[in-house]
Amino acid sequence: MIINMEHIARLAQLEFSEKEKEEIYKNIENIINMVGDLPDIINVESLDENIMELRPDDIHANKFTNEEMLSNAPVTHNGCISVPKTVE
Amino acid sequence: MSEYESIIGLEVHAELNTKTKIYCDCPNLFGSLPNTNVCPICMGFPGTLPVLNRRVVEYAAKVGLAMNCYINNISHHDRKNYFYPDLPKAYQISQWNTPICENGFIDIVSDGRLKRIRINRIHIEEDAGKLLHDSKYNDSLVDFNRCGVPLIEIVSEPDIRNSAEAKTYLETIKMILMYLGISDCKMQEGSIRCDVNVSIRKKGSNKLGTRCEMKNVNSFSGAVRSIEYEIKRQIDILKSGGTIKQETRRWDDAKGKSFVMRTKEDANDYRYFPEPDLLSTYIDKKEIEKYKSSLPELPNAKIWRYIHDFGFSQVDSKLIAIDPERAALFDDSINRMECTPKSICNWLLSDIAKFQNDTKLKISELPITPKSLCSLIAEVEKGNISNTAGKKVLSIMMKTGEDPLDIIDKSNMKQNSDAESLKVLVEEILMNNQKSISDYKNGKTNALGFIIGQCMKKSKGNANPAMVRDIILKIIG
Repeated sequence: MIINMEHIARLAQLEFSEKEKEEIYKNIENIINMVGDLPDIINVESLDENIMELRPDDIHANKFTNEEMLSNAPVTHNGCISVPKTVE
Repeated sequence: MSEYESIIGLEVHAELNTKTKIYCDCPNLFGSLPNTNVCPICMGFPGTLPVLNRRVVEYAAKVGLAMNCYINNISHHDRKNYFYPDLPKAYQISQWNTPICENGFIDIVSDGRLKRIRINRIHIEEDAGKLLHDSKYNDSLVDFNRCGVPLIEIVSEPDIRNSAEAKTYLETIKMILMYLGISDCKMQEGSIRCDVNVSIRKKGSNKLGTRCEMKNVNSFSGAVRSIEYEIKRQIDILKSGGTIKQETRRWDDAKGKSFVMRTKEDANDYRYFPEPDLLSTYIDKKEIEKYKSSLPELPNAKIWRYIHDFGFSQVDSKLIAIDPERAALFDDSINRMECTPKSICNWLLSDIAKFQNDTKLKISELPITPKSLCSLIAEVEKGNISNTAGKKVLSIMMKTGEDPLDIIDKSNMKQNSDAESLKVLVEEILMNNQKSISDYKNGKTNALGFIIGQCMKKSKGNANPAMVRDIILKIIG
């Protein structure tokens, strides 16, 4: 298993120092090895499908106010969450 | 252009008009104040879990059936990961390996012919929020109201060959969604958007060329322009000896140009994986049969039927079929068999359409029924009233909702088509206009118009002008 740390960091929009990279590499390697140790499911066909309950299309409106929903945001402006300028 | 052909595939995203969002019960509304239709689920707060809206599954299955797809009894949900401020969870719940619908097709009427466009798949997913930019404010503002609005994505096979076909395909999809009543299809509100894939190849080759994808195409006319731009761009590259690079481009409709967004090297890596927060979605076979039997006749089938059965032009056929209410009025009127299809078509698309345009009323809001419309048209066709009088009757019907026969009886509009009495009228006029007769005989054809005019005046406009003309010619001709 080759772990491309640069690629993963870029996808997550994160920057790491060389030292951090080494540490995280070890962590990810451990996680992958642990998953690799899990027993293989040989006969997938025999697994029952886990079917979920669906929800009726009914409104339960206005459970939360705009203020409540934005109360965790570090910066807000005109009822919106403010983020660094982003133009694709 | 001639030595190349273009290969086009479209991905159409349409917002569904369910009451609530796809994974939470927030209202699915456009145009509310920012961040007022949001909750911890659609804003992606930790510890929340999505619960799928049953109606979204139903609507997707209906679209799939309308587009001749195979409906999977069991479908799965997957995470599509990408990082952008309008996506609070940093992933979109979508469908990857088993979408609800697969392997379908729609027949579009293009250039007077049926053309089959295969549908690869239709899946359900959630919309993202919206970034707002204010010139007075330096940072970007996020409105999450659109987060979790249900979307279907309809992916075509690369069966489209030019921009005109692409436009017809998009219009057909829009009409089908309108007929099913599952999407508002308001382009200006972004309820239908599409991504366009274009490649070109030498004619006769059966190898596909390198394709480029264009994003941010927000209107059907924009799709046409972006396709034409892209075909020309690719041909120019090939002609000057270059090679096409696989890339994602951003269409700028105002500039009429596209710009590179991403090249193949930095193509998005979405790292799809099965959505752990949702189980499988099951649609009962009986349910599918029920949806299937409730499907209306679809607009593309109607267009083809009007062209084929009635000899209408493609333009007229589309104008009738594009509005489900107009098509219903037309079909119900046809079934009464009291007047010709062509007349019904003409009245619907001229006077009635003009009235609708002036008043902004829908067909269902007009005080006319198939019965009243047909009896009006039949009176005109039988010659009982003139075409001009018919238009007057219609405008009274539109105001008062009265029965056309009552209106005709009350007013003096009934046209005289009685040959005997018309002959008496013509003879009298001729007697008093000897000069016009000799003018006519000496080659002044205008004189005939004058005589007809005199007859019409004498009859207070009620004489059947075509019959009057024939009688005059019979006597003096």
